[in-house]
Amino acid sequence: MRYNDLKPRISGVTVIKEQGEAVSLESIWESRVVLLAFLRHFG
Amino acid sequence: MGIKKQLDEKDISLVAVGSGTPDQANVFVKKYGFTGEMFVSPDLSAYRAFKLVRGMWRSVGPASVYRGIKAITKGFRQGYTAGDPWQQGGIFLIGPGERLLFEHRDRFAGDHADLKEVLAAAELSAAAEKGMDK
Repeated sequence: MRYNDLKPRISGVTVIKEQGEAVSLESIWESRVVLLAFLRHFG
Repeated sequence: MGIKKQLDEKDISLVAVGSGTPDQANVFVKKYGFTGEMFVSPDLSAYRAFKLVRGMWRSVGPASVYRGIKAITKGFRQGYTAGDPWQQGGIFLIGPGERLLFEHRDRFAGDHADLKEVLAAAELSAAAEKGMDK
């Protein structure tokens, strides 16, 4: 997948911080390199 | 050397996304001493955005059972399950901005990315950036 393919899919998607605050998914890697690990489940 | 230390040396931030609630994420962070940043996507919209697969047989099918037995023989034990049990995970090296450097989507439970490949992608990217700076 190229980033251009990903871009429309992530537009408007938010995730929630541990503290409960919603943030834009894309903002997570806006200004840094991130190893983004999607967990299968907690436990 | 642990993965977090290797990432820190390469100036890569470790961010996890889980499928449960913020409270379940807090329990996970404390229980396992996770030192990265933690987010959750209870509606799975972030998982769908990255085209991560979901399905019961991907969690309990023959391939995942085989990997599970291998993990148990190595001493790993799975605790209670919090979050969506049928959602599979994945790993992406991404940023800054519109750069997707590595992608891996688990096809079934236990189908994890090779972290050596992830780190190699990070090194390639860093080398390319240095080349552009010259």
